[in-house]
Amino acid sequence: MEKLINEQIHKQLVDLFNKELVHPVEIILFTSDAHQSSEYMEQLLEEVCSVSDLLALQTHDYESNQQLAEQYHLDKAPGFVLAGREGDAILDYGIRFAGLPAQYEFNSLINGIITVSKRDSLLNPAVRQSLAEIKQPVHLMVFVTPT
Amino acid sequence: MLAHKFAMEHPMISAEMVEATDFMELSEEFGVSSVPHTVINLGKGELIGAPPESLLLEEIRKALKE
Repeated sequence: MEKLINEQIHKQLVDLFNKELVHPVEIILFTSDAHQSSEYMEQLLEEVCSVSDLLALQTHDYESNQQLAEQYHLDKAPGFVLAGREGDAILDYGIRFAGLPAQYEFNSLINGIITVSKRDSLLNPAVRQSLAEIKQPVHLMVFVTPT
Repeated sequence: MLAHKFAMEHPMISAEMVEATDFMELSEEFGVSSVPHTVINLGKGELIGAPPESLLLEEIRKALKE
């Protein structure tokens, strides 16, 4: 199959990940036969994960693994969770993607991987302090399009 | 994405990037027309455009008071 990530981007990712990745990241993907983009998404994530030994991908079928999807609070497929991994433990920070992060949104995927790998938001101290005062659950959905 | 950083920072915050064209029904439900469009707690708050940190924080606070 033809690669989705060309040689030039691959090389950039190698350099970037060598520099930025610290701890292991696990991408937990739920695919859906009902959506054509599932296959494309799996291939894209496989190619990204192949760039660094710190990245791993696990793929599950959404329809037949509802319980696991629920465990990760994932209710849209194809979709995936960007989690940390420490030994056998999965660290879920509540970072998810629904649908294919193509084109411009590819950056959100790469930046998300780096954030999780660093285990650090790198937000400025004032924002961190204000966020710490939040005592209720907050769920953010950010709608984007690939163009 | 800033929302993902907020999720990384706070255990009670989760953030999901939703590809609107893959989830048309959902984007219609929340009246998404221009992107990025951030929906806070299923519509308690919303924000259009890519916000600076302080603005996203403010909108979250407002949504929690609703």
